[in-house]
Amino acid sequence: MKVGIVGIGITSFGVHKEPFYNIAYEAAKKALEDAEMERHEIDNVVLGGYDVAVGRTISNMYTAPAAGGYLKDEIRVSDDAAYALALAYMRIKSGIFDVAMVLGYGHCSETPMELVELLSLDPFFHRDLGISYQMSYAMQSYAYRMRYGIDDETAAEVVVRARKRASKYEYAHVREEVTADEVLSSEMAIFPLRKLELPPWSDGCVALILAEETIAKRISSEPVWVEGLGWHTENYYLGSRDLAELFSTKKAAEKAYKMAGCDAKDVEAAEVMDLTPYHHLMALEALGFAASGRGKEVVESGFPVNSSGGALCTNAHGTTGLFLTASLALQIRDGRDRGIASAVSGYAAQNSIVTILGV
Amino acid sequence: MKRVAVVGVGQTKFRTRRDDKTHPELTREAVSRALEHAGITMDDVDAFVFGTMDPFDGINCPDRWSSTAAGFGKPFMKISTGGTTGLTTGIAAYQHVASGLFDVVVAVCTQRVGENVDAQPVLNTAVDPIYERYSGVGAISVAAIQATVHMQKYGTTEEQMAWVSVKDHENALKNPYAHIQKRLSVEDVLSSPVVSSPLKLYECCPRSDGSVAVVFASGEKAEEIRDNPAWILAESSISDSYFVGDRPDLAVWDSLTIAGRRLYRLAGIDDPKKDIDVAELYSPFTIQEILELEALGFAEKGEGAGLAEEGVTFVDGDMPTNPSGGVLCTNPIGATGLVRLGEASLQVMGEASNQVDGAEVALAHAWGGTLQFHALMLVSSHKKLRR
Repeated sequence: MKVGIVGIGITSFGVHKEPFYNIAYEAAKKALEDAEMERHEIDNVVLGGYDVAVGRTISNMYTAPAAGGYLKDEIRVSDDAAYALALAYMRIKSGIFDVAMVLGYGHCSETPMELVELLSLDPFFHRDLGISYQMSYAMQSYAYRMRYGIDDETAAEVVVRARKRASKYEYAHVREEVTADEVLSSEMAIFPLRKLELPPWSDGCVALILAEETIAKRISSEPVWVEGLGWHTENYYLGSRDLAELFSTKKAAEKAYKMAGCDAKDVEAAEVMDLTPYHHLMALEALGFAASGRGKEVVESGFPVNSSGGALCTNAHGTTGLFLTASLALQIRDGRDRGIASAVSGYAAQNSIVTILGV
Repeated sequence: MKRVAVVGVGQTKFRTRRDDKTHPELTREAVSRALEHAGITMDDVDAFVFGTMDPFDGINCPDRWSSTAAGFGKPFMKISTGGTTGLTTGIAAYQHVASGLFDVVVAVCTQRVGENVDAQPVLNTAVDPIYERYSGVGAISVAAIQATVHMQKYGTTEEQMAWVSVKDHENALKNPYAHIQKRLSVEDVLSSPVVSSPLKLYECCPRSDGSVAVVFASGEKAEEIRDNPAWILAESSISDSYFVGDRPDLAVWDSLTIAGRRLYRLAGIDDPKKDIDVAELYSPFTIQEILELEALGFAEKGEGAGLAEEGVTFVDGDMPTNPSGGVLCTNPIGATGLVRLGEASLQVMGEASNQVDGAEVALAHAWGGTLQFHALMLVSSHKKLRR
């Protein structure tokens, strides 16, 4: 039995003045409209997002009703919503449910993200170091640069290309194009990352409707099938890890490829959660598109990566990964045969989930 | 549909504070015990599902840290749904196995409520900042409203509610992992200080630190692992509307009735009183056990209040409820639901510390939000319901 995506709803990303549950409602409604379905045709709701990223405890109290969960079976993953898609897949694959509403939410304008994320450091070893979320990504960037001799220009080029693609993608948050000079002359934020090399903090929601194969085919003439899934968690302690590679993404990708019965050469498009330009390159390597240190060759080749603009242009903490997955699904609808999306969470990409979609 | 069973249960001792152990160390203690109970090792585990309610631990996303004890190097997923977290973590782990993607999955929930000065103001941040937050809504206040309405509508008395507490505390004496272990009389309960009228101190749960782990295995593996697995017959969850003020009637828990009916339909249960031998319900306040027994069909509406006093819900009664001592004696909030499933599983394995004679079918329940969520799981010593 296959499981397919039959409805896609993406809100605009940016800074929303409205409460996050209104944005969640908008995404869910768009997904239902896209699938030409009514709320009652959904038999379960799987939510994904962080309490800290919306400023409310038990944030699914708000998003469950917004996602159409009233008196329905509901569960919530407290991680990037790309994990919610995986859980929804399992709920359907098991035969327990037929049609799931997967909804991811992030509303970073509600809360001082850098400060709040400091609280996810353990109180004994990391907290006193005061390492911010971005600092952990900067440490990885630095380790990667040093090991493989990646220069500033390569990183700047990733940003330039990301912005260019985002400028053409209606859902992206930061859509202004930039030049390499602008990137290279922007303020140094966290060494080696300059201001224009950091992702924004965005508000926005993504909803996907997943259905069991026979039902999916009735709902849609062209469901986007979930072909592969893999997720993996790395050591929490930063000092115990090789920061110059995305090991968790690599392991997650191995599992996803195995499940889909394919490898990188069978994939026509990728969406990677590039929280820095260096993570763009590292993710491509972890997904098997290039050997270690040679991710830049994929960028130069023109292989379609992050048509959405990627996390560098849209980053609603808690749903960034699902945003990329949804963006990939749209590309598959537009004619690509198979694509891969990767998401990371935790300090220095401790956790990863990889999703392969196809026709 | 693939058969899935619980094959191992592990708990830590629950206390107000577990300063002797860090978050991952607590996690490891529960996981090690669960693996030992199942007779398997970490290498046999294909994936982990972790549950906790972040704001209580004094650390955000403690799962990331705790994964060093359980899950690192493997697929690991974090569930958080409020008070139901423990049971929805179990449900997600069950679904991992039922999907066929994994054979052996461990659900683990660790919570350190002791890191908070007070849990209620934390819970209060869950309610809407404009309409309900300043009314001070938390778990105790909504339970007090439920009690008041139930007393008014059905004539439920303070003595009847006190008997629920007496029963749970008696049960907890036999549970080595229980937090509060103290024999109480009805008089003790009635004379304890009022916390939120009409609920008194001994009618309210403690705040506990601790961890619980439950091992799930596919049918074949389960039969290899042990002779007495606890087979999962069905699960069901429900989400109500957001505002407490939108509940049609606080004297009944109608959303639980709906979730229960769905569960019974899936499991083929006609009469819960006959078909279910023991229940582990999420009742941190005495009144809630009464409401839950009524909502789940163990008593007629308005008649649940007398069950403890009449001995029906005691371990040797007709409908033993919370033989572990329940949530009233142990409440590590985000882990509590999984304790219910663990205890229910031990009952049908015949290995519970306060065993109900001949228990074959056991119900686990959790509620969450401000009376918004319910989760239910039904386990049995047989693969299918036997009548």
